Amino acid sequence: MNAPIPRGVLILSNDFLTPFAKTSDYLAEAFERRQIPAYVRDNADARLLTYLFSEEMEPDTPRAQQAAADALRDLIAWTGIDTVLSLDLNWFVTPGLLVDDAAIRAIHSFWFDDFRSWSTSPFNPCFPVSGDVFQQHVKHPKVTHHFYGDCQAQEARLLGVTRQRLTRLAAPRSLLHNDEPCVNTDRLAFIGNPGFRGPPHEGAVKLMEADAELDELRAFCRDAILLHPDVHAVKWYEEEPTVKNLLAVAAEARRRFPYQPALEIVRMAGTHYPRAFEYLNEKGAILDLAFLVKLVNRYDRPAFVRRLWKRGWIDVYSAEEEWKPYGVEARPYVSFRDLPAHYRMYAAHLNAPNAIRDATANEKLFEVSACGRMSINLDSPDVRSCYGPDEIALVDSLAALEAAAEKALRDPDAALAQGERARARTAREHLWDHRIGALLGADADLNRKP
Amino acid sequence: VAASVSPAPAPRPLVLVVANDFDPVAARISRHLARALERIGYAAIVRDTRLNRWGAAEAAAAGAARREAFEAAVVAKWAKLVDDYGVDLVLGLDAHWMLSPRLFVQAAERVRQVHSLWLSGSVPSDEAPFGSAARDLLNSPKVTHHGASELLLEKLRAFGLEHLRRTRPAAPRDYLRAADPCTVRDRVAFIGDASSDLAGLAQKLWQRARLDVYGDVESWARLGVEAKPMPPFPQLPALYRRYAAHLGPVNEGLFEVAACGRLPLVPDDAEVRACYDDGEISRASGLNGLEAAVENVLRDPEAALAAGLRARERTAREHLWEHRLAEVLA
Repeated sequence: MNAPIPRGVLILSNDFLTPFAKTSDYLAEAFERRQIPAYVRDNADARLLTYLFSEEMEPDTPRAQQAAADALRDLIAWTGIDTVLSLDLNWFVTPGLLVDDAAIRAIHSFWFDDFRSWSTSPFNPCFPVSGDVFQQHVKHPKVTHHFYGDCQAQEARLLGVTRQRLTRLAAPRSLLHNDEPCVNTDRLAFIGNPGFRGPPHEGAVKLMEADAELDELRAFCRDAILLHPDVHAVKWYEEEPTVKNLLAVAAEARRRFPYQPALEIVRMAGTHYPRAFEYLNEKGAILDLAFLVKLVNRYDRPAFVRRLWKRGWIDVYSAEEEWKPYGVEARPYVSFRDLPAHYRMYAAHLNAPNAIRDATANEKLFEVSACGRMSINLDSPDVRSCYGPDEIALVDSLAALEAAAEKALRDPDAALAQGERARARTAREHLWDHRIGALLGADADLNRKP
Repeated sequence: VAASVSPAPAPRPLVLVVANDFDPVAARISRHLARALERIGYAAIVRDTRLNRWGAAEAAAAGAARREAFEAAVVAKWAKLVDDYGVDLVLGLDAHWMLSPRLFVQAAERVRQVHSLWLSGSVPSDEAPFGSAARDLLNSPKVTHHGASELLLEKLRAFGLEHLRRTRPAAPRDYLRAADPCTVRDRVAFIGDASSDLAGLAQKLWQRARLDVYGDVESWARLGVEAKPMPPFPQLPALYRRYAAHLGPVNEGLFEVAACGRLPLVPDDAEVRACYDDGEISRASGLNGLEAAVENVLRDPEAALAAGLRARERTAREHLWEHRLAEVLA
């Protein structure tokens, strides 16, 4: 049965996290194309108030909460908003604000970040509340959580969130109509940061310099996780030594099955080490352990980029400082406004997921495709479920990456043709309009003129 | 390697539309502006400054150090938005874009122009939210002020503003599609505040059952008028369409009523005559003249509806937001 068409949609963003914030504007455009008024508002402003009302102004925090709530309540009343969408949990401004508002019928969380971070950070929501209140909100019957990867969904389920859907990321429709010429066929491009923040391990960089394969790098990470435990892990090992065994098995399993959700791996390993699993469960530390397991893939993205950089086959954009430790000299940041043109400038792009998110079909996969360009991706089930090998390149090693890149450089026309097929598939299946169509329970009438 | 990379071609300019949700008109029109910008070839995003302003006032009350720290945080947020999105132009309702000298006009090099669309009719305060002199910010060479009428431009000039242009308000294109039936022909409608210059006339006509009032129920009650609450923004076109004619001041409502194919009844002035001809709208001098115009409409609502259709055609040709914005950004 189709859900009622929203009368107005409030999209809550966070402009401190602009790479995700841009999706808010894409979603708004897609709603407006359906003649559904959409209002993007920035939750970063409420967060700034928490900063202002810290320290000596802390006793007055309730007034700040009231101001943040009033701002949204007024907007909802004036505009007839009945549906809320937000990136991550940015709708959770103050307790009760949207879930208790009778005018609001549905709240949708589109998860980009991992659920664990939000569940454990004291600053989520904007104004700190007890864990019980947080749980009541994320499990409220009005709220649906949308995850773009199985692991995200599993993590949320572990925390009791059952109202959830798999909703893939997508591309904005405007990218389809981008016809800038391809002017760089002698190199590929990568636009983005190395993924996991923080300097790389010296040993990992040495391995990359020695042309190590992904599997060797993953094995290095597996060992590093066990050899250099963080303070939490040290405590776990002291209190329940079999936790180390569980982690060792899980990390090795992740090396062998690099796209299997980390949480699933931990659970399976837990069947062999039930005492360790029970201990972690009691401590509320299962997701912390799963995070360590994800780190096995930490160097997938940097290794991808670095391999082609070393060959002189790639231009890297953005995060100049973060790329330096990898020996990669990146060009300046590309603003969102300039992204489509940069995608179009090259016949082919490199794409690799951020290991921390444990979800491989990222936004860039869809955006590069919408621009009619070919992307080279790790051959994960999620990516494969969105595009086929005649639309994108799928590789499972750095050697295969090099081969795919060389092919694109040798025959850019073939890469461009592949990109055009990816564009056609995106236009049919992977626009934000399609995701909203699914969300509304209706088929998207994509041929309707705005 | 660097030398051989061809530069990317210039994309559509990106306009940041700055609203303030303290002001319902700004909240409503900002969305219309963004949609109109997209139709004329710009990309647009809308953001609000309500909580920044509220926080700035709170921070100022807590002392200079707090204010400076909060200003730095607010500036950092907006500067990141400008850089990451690649904002080229800023379009603010009134001066809602005016927060700190370090934003938009002085520090943000990539923002080429700032346009203030003055709709509220009020002049700015002397002090910007973080304490700097408002005139200095507002008179930056990047900034152009657009006043809806000569009267407002004169007020802004008297305040000390430079770079002034006359830009009238307009209607959203969506309103041209409104097709709801006219169900009330024995009364006209007035949508607005109890503080309006026309409130006295509205009160008189309401008492004689010639007019329905929509607005803040409590403030109208103080005048003895039982007003109906304002509907949510998306229902405004249907409300306009419900009546054959609407009494109102010369503001964006004039164009919106006309876009909905209904007859605006407005005080006569040069602005009105410059926009619509007789036969498209009804204009009259003085409150007595407007009262007589209301009576005329109620005697012949079919004629009012026919005039409304002509007003809609004129609006579609000349008075949509895309017409205004094309001139503003030319």
